[in-house]
Amino acid sequence: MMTRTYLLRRIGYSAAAFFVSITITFFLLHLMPGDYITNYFLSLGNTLPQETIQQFYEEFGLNLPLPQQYLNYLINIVQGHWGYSYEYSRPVLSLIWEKLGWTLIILLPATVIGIIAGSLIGAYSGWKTGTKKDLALFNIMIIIRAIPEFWWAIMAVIIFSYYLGLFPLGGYSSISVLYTGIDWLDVLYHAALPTALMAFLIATGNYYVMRNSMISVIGEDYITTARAKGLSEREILWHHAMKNAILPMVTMTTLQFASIIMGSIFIETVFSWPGLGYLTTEALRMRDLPLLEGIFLLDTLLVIAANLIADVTCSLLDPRIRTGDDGD
Amino acid sequence: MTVTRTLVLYISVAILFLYAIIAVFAPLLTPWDPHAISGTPLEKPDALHPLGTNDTGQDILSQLLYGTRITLLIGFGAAILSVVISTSVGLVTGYYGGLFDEIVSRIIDIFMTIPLFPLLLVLALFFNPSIWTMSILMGALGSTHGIRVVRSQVLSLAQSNFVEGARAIGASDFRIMTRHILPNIMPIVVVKFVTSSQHYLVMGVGLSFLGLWDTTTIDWGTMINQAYSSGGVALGLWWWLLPPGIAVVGISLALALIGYSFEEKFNPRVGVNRL
Amino acid sequence: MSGEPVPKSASCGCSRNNLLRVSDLRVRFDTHSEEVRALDTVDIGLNEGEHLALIGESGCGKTVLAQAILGLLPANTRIGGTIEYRDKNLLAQGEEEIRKIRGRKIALIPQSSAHVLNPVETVGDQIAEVLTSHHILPPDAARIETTRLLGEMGFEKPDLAYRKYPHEISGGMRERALIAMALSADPEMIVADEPTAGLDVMVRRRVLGMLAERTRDRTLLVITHDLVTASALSQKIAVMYAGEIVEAGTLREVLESPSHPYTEGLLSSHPSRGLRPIPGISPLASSLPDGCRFAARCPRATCSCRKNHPELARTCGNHEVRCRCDE
Repeated sequence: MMTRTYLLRRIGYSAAAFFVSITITFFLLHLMPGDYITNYFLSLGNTLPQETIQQFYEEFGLNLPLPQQYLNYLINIVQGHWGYSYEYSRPVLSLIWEKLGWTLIILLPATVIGIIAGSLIGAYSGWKTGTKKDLALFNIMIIIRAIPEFWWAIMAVIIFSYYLGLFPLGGYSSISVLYTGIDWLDVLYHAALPTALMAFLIATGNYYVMRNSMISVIGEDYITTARAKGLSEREILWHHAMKNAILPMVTMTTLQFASIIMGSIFIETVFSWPGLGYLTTEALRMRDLPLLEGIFLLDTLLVIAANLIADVTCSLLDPRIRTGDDGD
Repeated sequence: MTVTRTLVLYISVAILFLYAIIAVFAPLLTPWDPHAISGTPLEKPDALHPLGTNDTGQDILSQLLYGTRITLLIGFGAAILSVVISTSVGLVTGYYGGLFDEIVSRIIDIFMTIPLFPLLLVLALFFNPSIWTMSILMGALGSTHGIRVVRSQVLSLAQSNFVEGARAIGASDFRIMTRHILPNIMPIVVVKFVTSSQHYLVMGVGLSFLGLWDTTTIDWGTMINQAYSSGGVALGLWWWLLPPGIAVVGISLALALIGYSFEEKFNPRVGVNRL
Repeated sequence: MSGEPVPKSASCGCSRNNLLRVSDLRVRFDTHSEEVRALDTVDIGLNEGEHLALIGESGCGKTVLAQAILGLLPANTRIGGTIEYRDKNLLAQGEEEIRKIRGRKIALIPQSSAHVLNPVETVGDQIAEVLTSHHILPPDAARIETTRLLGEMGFEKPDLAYRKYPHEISGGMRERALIAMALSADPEMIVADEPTAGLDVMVRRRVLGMLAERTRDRTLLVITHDLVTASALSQKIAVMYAGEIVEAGTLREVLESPSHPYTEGLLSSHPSRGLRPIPGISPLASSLPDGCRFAARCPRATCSCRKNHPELARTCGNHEVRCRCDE
């Protein structure tokens, strides 16, 4: 395994990052004009007599000195009390948790397909660098990536759902859900186009990284050695080039999975898919700060987890990292 | 560069200029005020309204032209801020090194572990989103990556011989940084500026599409949003839905192509290898 | 020491049993801004069983020559002349044909650099790969054979050595592994590129001994800048400078009676002979002078030397020199 000091340092950074995030959310909540309670009641559309407000202050500890409140906040976060959403009047964490599942329905298959497709095409493109094939692919990818994600989504809806009638226009199920309850086949049907689109866009990102990785690999000495041994092009590509080119991909793909909000917000909003991205848009429109902050904290945790997983996976795949400080 | 590459570059720059001109001279290019109700709702394109009207009767072409201002402002504003911060911080930390560099690097490391997009949303909501706050926030948060890039370049340059020579003849630190190091990192700064503007521009339209600021603001994002959510697809309102989208794609492509051709010129290994 | 210009077809070797003949080889690279002339009219002949050492400083083109023989030059290279292996021009062969020769008939011991071996595969697997790729042995047998070979190469615990990764072995072990890799398919000819570079004296001696023994019955082209290595492994020497062969002959002829000023300079710069370096640096392959390429650094250069490019001429026996020093 990788050295203990490295692991500890990684965890240290992660804890610091989470800590900083919590601090930011705390201060933002408390710097809002008015305070949490007042804003919450405002959102309920009520005005309460001063004594009631005072009572709530005491109960929720809002009249305590700031450092004390901060500590309470930290404890609450760790315990999973992430506040109440203004708009939905529900605990933030349970709301997020519920929507996360829906996002994963699209995100997981899309990421898997996108990574595989992007890596294969990128590897091919890098392997063939200097030829017209690489040039063509590269230019196509530039154009694809220049078109904004939300526009791709709208175009997909116009072409595939509206004109070709192949897919539904959005949502997660048809109206029939009101009578028959959720039919999972119908849900999958609704998930097909957003998933495909997301896979498509994820693939373009992976293409770029894999291509660069492959280009630097084929310049290495061991590729020349492999050719000198008389290995076939396939053998060189798979045993020598791919095995090495894939290493930087691991980090990139795990991080990609973790920037879940940015990745899903546009597609889910256009397709009205009730996942975390859609929830984020709602939170934005409704000015629901506690909910938005909860989403932010969740994403931070995901990024931290992804970083750690990437580190562990890298050390498993790359024999150089494995022995680390121990060998020779 | 080959002929096609140069041609593409020139066309892209021309497109960029076209957008800039439209942004500046919008009032001269259309008789209608974009906020004013100047026609019946959902008119198809005709001589009076070349791109028709939206659901409240406002002229779409005017909205498109005036919207260019907001989009360009956000994109380039954020990019300028981002580049200024990255360059100055990167320059100073890379040149002086030491404890200051250590601290700043640690801070940057921590920030890169935090997902910046949700943070952007949270801060935007807190500070009340407007064109200016968005530009500043995007520019500030986005500069973290740039700082690292500039810093590493400056680090290697600071060790080089000509810097040592300059110091030996008594040049001040400031002079060395501005006269000697800065010109050498300009290529990557320029590339970063172009790619950043593309990125922030598109994100600006995207956020506006999501409804970050109130819909009375007229820009391409709100136009697309309204067109789409008013059932623009089903009602076939292509004259409302398509123009702003095409406008975004146009400038995004132009900037992307400019960015790539610069990147290829300055760093041949990144582009397609052609000897 | 006057001589007649040597007809190209008969240069540097007899006609019978010719295993490898390089004729009039010219290699040019085209980069963005300039043309790099890496090799110019190189003629080399090797009979079966002969050992030739190619001596020269870095940048003189020796590695390019090795790569040209094995068909490893990049796609944008312009190559002229022929490289005949058993009367078949390698430069005219398709990739499939060359692949069958590489490793199997002509094997390269590449220059031992940090990344000369694939970092994510074991050393043993990379050697066994030669056997399985050329369909000499099935995978299990290949593994056993490789382990045996590693043992012969002096690895004390061959099983352990097999499973090591390239970053886990020392420079000397790496060199021995590369030698094992080249020998595994029992090739007729070996091209060794700087087999002793970067090794300390003790390890170098061991490696040289091993290499000498293993190549005794094979044809060997060894590329080196080290005279000790050259003397230990070969009987014939060719000295290269700025992409050309400037002197060639048997080991004794060249080392005891060097004819070209460059060779003389090389010998004098050796620690055992006085450590007197040659002043100046060799010309860039992208801007070669018109006349003799060594003229700028030659103590005996004349006006004529700088203007007229000398040809390779035979002096006595098979000793050839590219110099007009007698005129």
